[in-house]
Amino acid sequence: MLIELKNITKKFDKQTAVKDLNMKIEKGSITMFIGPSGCGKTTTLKMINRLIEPTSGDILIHGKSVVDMEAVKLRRSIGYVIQEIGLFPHFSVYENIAVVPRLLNWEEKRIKERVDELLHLVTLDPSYAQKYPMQLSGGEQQRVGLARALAADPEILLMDEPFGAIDPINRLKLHDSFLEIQEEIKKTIIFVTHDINEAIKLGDKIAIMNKGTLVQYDETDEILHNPKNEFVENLLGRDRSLKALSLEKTKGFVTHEGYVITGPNDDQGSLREKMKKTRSEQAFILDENGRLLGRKILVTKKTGKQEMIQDSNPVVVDRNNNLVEALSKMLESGEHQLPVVSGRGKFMGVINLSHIFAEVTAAEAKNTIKGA
Amino acid sequence: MAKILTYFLQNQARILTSTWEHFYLFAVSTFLSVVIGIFTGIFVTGEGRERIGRILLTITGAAQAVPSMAVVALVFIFVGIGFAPAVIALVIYSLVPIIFNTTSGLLSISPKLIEAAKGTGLTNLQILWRIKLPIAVPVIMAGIRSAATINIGTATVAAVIGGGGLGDLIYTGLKLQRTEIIIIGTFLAAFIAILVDILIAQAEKVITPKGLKISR
Amino acid sequence: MGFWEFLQAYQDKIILEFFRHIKIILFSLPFAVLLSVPLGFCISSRPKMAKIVIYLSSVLMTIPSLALFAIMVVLLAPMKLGLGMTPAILAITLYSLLPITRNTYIALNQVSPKTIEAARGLGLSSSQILWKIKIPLSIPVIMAGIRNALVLGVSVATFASLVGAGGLGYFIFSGISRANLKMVAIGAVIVSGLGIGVNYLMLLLEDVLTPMGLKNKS
Ligand SMILES: Nc1ncnc2c1ncn2[C@@H]1O[C@H](COP(=O)(O)OP(=O)(O)OP(=O)(O)O)[C@@H](O)[C@H]1O
Ligand SMILES: [Mg+2]
Repeated sequence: MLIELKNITKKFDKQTAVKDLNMKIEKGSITMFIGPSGCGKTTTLKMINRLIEPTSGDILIHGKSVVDMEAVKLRRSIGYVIQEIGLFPHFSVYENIAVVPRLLNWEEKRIKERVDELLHLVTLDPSYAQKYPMQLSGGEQQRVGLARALAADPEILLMDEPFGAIDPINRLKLHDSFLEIQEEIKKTIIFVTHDINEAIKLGDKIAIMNKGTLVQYDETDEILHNPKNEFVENLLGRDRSLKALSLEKTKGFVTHEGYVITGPNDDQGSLREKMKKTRSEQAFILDENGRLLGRKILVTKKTGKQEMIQDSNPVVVDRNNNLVEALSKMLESGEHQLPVVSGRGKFMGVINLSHIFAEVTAAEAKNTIKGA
Repeated sequence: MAKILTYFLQNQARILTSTWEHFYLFAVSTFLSVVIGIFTGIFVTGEGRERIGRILLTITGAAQAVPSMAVVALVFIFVGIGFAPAVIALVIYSLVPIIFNTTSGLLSISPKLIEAAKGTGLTNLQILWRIKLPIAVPVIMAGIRSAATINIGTATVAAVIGGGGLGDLIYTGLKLQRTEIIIIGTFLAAFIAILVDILIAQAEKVITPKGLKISR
Repeated sequence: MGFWEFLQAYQDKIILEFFRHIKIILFSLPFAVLLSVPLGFCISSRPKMAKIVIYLSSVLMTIPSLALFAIMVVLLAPMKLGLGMTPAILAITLYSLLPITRNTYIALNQVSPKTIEAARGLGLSSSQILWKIKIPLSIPVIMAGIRNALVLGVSVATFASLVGAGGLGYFIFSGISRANLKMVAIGAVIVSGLGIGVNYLMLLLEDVLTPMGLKNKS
């Protein structure tokens, strides 16, 4: 157990913000805190890095009480990300990311390498290092905020509504790259959100709070399938089975059949042969690094003649998109097979409409049995 | 014109002394009020003292409407005549914009930003030096700039209570109705004022962090 | 003589100089506004000219007030206007140039281009945009400029007594030269009160003139 909250209570004057909270958080997992405004999410988060001291109870990290650690040192070992305002406006992106390494007296060379590495991790071009926060979009600022929190490679990451001020479309993109990053870094992340879809998409576990108490704390699919009470049910909303579908990531449904791979300069004739043989309608064009450049489609004309069409800007699904997102992309584009790519544009395989339908049917069946 | 030149040549020593006195009065009082003002501003905006800061902001806001001559007069009543009272008057009067700007500059920094700095593991002192003060620099410098302008102007006035300087020349000129003395005193006072203003404007440019100069 | 008897003895003189002080400011105000506001409008769409005008008026502002008074006396002497109200009014008008012109300029330029684009999109003509959008949105800032000018006027008018125009400066300067502390105190206190009072009243007026939607609710 990495983090343990024991009988935590916090009172402001007479008002109780958090009441007798007990929970254990595992290493390497993402725990999502969700609940109505003022239910004590932020307060709980801030008690972990001691921006707020609990009135009673104890918080242990690696079995050691946080009150026994020096507050400033503790905070340097825990990454902290808040809404976009948290970047220091007078520091360049480089200097913002370098804040903690500099506090820790790293050598400048090591800092530079780390900044480059982190910019790459959060998929920002190295040229961004010299920009200032005011020159960045909200989403870019948020990526820098994440990079800054990760700078000294902390074991724990606290994030308070980090994507709260970002528009829905960019938020989806950030979610995908956030999951991609977590796959690489495997941090213990505690994440406060207002958005139930965000909680379901990102969380390994979800902690639902109301009026300062923990209502339910479980694995995400356990919460979706067995909401403890009406409060949780209402929070989840009526389309629970669809939400359950959104638990499944595209990457779990990738197949490697029914298409052909080709290079940008391969011979047309042999490609056509290959496609006929494998009964494929599409051929995906990849560069030498395996990145998707485009696709070729075999179209049968009215005359019965077949023709090859090139499409250099095909619709793609990110491998961290959930099934609901993949489904809506298919419906929008009218395709029944879409290529799946990683965050850096690497081709992973395809996802087929029929597989998604099979999953929907299975989920329906599961819920019907439970309901009966 | 000829009269001006004659007076200038005959009284070089006095003019030089007056100019030097003027500048000295200005420099001493500005230095003192910058130090005291910034320190006060930092103190009243420290953690848990924000309320004092806000009260001081209201007071200094209103005090900016007090005429300079009134301050000089009040200091005269309580302290008397000479160089020291002149310095005191100038310091009191020019403290107002510096305290006002330092306080409002520091108070206007978003609490979220301070929280982010704290959460990142900066100590209170580091937050002050690395975050708060650099961000407040443009506002603080604007305060210093107007304090300097005020001081140069008030230094002229302070001659009435024995502060010496170029004000002496101007008063003498007005009293004796000697145009040439007035012109020399005025020209030099205005010259120093403009020079100081240009210097501070340059300093402002150099000291303002680059990230704050970018406008969206 | 106690302070109270002193006040009574000087009652008439105090009232006289108080109103003279106000008269000087009020006489300068129309000149200042009529000169600076149109100037601000004029430069509002000419950034290069604006830079020059604002720079020159800020240079004017750095000239110590006593020095400016002295210059007026010298310049006006050949026309036999070197003493009395004229130099005082002229000096105050010149000082007002910066605060009012600059604020008018800033006010007109702070109106967001999006708002103007929206107005144009709705079919408002240029003059309608000026009168219905730009001016109402600018009034608070222009008023702040006028307030600063007035407060400055109260301060500068103290020196009017040196050029024979009277005003509250009389008590201060005569008091100092006669070492009469009570006189100095009366002058200093009343002129301070006047400055603070004018500032406060103008703030109230600004508040009244600010369009409802621009006030923050806090
Ligand atoms: N510093 C404080 N002083 C007094 N009361 C506070 C303080 N901080 C939080 N509270 C109160 O404690 C309660 C919980 O606040 P908290 O910020 O943890 O809520 P939250 O769940 O993060 O809400 P939101 O979703 O709106 O961010 C609220 O009622 C709040 O008013
Ligand atoms: Mg919160």
